[in-house]
Amino acid sequence: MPSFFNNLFQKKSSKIILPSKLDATPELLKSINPGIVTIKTNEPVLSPSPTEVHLDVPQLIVGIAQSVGIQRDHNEDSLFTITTNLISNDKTIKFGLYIVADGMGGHANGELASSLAVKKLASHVINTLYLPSISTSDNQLGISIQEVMQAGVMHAHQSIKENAAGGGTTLTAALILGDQMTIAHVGDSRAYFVDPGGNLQLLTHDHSLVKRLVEIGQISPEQASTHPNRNLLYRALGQGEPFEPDITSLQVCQGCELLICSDGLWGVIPENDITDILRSSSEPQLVCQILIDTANAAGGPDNISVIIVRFPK
Amino acid sequence: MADSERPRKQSDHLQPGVILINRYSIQSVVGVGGMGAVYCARDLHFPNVVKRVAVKEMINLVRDPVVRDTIVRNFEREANILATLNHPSIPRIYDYFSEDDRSYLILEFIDGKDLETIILETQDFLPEVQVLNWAIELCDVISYLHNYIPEPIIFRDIKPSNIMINTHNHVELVDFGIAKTFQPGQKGTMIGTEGYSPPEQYKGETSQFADIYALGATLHHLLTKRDPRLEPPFSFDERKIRSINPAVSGELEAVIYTALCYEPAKRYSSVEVMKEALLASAKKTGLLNKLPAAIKPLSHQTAEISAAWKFECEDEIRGTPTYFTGTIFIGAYDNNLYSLNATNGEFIWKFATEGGIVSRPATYEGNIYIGSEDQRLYCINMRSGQEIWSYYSNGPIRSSPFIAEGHVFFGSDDAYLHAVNALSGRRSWKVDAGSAVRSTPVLVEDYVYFGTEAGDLFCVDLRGNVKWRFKAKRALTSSPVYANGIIYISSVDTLLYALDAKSGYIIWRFRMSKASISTPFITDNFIFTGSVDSHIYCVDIHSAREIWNFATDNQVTSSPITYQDSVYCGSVDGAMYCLEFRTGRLRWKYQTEGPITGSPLIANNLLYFGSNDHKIYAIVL
Repeated sequence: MPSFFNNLFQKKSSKIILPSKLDATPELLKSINPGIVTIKTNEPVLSPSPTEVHLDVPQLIVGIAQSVGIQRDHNEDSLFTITTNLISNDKTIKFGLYIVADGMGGHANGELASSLAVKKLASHVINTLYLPSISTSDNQLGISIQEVMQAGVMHAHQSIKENAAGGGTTLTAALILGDQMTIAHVGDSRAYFVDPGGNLQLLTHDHSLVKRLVEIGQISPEQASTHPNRNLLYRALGQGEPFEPDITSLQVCQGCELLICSDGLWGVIPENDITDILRSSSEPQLVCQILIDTANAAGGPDNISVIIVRFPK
Repeated sequence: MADSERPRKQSDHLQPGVILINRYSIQSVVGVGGMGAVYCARDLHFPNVVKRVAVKEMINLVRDPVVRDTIVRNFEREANILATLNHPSIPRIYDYFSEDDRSYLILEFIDGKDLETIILETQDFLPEVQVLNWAIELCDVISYLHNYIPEPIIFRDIKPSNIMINTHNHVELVDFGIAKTFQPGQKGTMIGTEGYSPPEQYKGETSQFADIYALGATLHHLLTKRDPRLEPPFSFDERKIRSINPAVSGELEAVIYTALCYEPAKRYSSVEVMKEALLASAKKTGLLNKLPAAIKPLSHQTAEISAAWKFECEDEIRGTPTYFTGTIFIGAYDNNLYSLNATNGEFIWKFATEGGIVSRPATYEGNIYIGSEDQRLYCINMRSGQEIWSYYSNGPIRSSPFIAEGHVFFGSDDAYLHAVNALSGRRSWKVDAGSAVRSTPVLVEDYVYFGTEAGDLFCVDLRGNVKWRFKAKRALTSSPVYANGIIYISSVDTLLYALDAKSGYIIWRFRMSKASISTPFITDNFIFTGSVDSHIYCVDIHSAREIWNFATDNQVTSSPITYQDSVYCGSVDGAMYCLEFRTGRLRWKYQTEGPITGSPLIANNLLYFGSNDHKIYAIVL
């Protein structure tokens, strides 16, 4: 069964933790883990990789930055991050919740709306998903991640209607659990996937009237960037019934990043420039700060919020 | 500047065999337009089946950068409009991209003919009831566009050549090149097709009344066979329908002329009102009750569904066949495993076990593996049908064998998952699952996943250690399916679960009306499953939203499969169903004389399945 051995060998080598400066040549691997080459049987053997005991807990690396901007005198954006682990039986699972909410300037309670949105969603997710994982009683979560996010957004929606009448906010939230990411989204803040080359892939759909005009070819992206109604949303938290957030789940890729930002960033810095800045450093915190500085240097017309989450390799 | 560019003529079509972006293999030219051609291509992402797509090409020969950009923008506009639309009469868009001076839209391939061709090819006049039937479907799709949120879409270019009739005689609206959302009062540029366009369109005004007029003009053309582009503009009144084609009823003629009024305000106030008027005319003329019957196959391509062969066993077939190099293997409740010639159904051999066989055979290294209710797993020589070894569990085996890493993994009613060396038949380990295991295990990246009758989903490593366990409220009889880090499984508790493969957390749940023991099937971003509530479901894999459901006449325990743009699934009502992949619309059904509980299999364009009427069927697709 030579093919089986190759298979086994490759799987093991990919999981061995090596000092970073060494090249993982087969010879080197033999010297590090001679056990691999001493198996003499010709029959397939069912066993997981012995190196599993060495696995560390790769952690999410997070940067955040926020600015009121140059032209506004108060901040209506809210952001929230939590990065931790779920403890589950014999393993730990990456857990992260990242939220950007941009209160609507045209409404009296914009500031209150965005902070309520973040608080309501964060507390719901943490109470439902995180706290049970550190309690000693073993109670399985009976509902799905998407249902938790959906319920959290609906709580936030109701709360804004009750406590910040007339206020509205965008909400873009990403919940990371292991290798799966679930995004809940309303409005025109954005979530992007950033691949290891720094290329952006937009994960959310702007609920923006002007964006719709671009999509249907009524105006060009250039016209959209200066359109007087470019902040008009056709869906926002705290506004309108029936109301439903966009919710979607996808697998994260190793070595990639998640970028969540308000339109104070993406509406001000062209995507190409964002890409260049993302490529300039692998430090999420530094990149966030450069992004904010660049948006302010470009006039800083709006509040700016940025979160970058780097997935470990 | 790049004057070294090779000059290219518009007639410079892509040749068959050309592959675009490593994915779409051009097969033939379907049509040629002003800006490029439309091709039929094969999607190479589906290497084992022939998935056809339409490739719409736009060649940009313009040198002026501004005009050039406008053309590309218009092309992308069409792509973006199509991407947001979801209607059975609008082709689905899969992709768009540009290469050099050409841009491409990848669209659902519509098998059929456009109305212009149909008019030209029809010797006589088209029957009124047929035109009425198309007209009503057109009203439905135009109504969808006119009521589109956030803004109505005016198609603006309704004409026979933009309307396809597919092989099931349903309309498909194609060419959204100039469809435009409507902003009341806005003056647009003049775009439209002379002959079908209303007077106001030439003044730069466009509203939904323009589409009503153009639909009237199209119906006029269909019934009279007089091409309005060859006549003076707005002269339909001078070509009274009934003076050219007396077979048309006065009622339908009146409806069409209302749509053709010069003054928009005098036409129907909406396309829904026009549909009501068409239905009212059909009621008066007695055509209304003929409408469903009027949906007759248009072309030879909807030929009758017939079996290439049938093979009768001595008892019910409840399981699923397996195909391997020209041979079909299937177990039956007459205790036998059958080996049949896949092409003609000829009997090759049978192997007798001592119990009924419900599980699906697996193949590995020239051998065939099958579990039986006599509690044994058999390894049989594929050629001779002779037993090589058998392995005893302590309960009937209803779970199908899954072979990987040189081992056979399967469950038994003895409440264990067994891992047995595929060559020697010796057990490597077994895992105590606490209750009967009828679900077929799947092995992904060093972990084995399977469900149990107590509702547990186990994730065990290759040593048989349990890594995590998820508990559904009722049994997990169906088998888990893996894609992109997620395990999907249907439960008797009525839910379809998406579970994180690493941790067992539920990512989403999709609720059906009753239990499900049907194993889900994944294609693109869709997941299909069946339920005891008698429906077949199609669900978006990322958002868990239902795309469509289809009601059969009894429980669906069979697992759906997809092939090209169809979904195939059996039902306890005895029929094998073929549904349109995107809409869930029925293409055909094939009735057997007993419930179909197993799943179909497709190989070499034949659909194989067993029925409780003791027969295995092979149907030509």
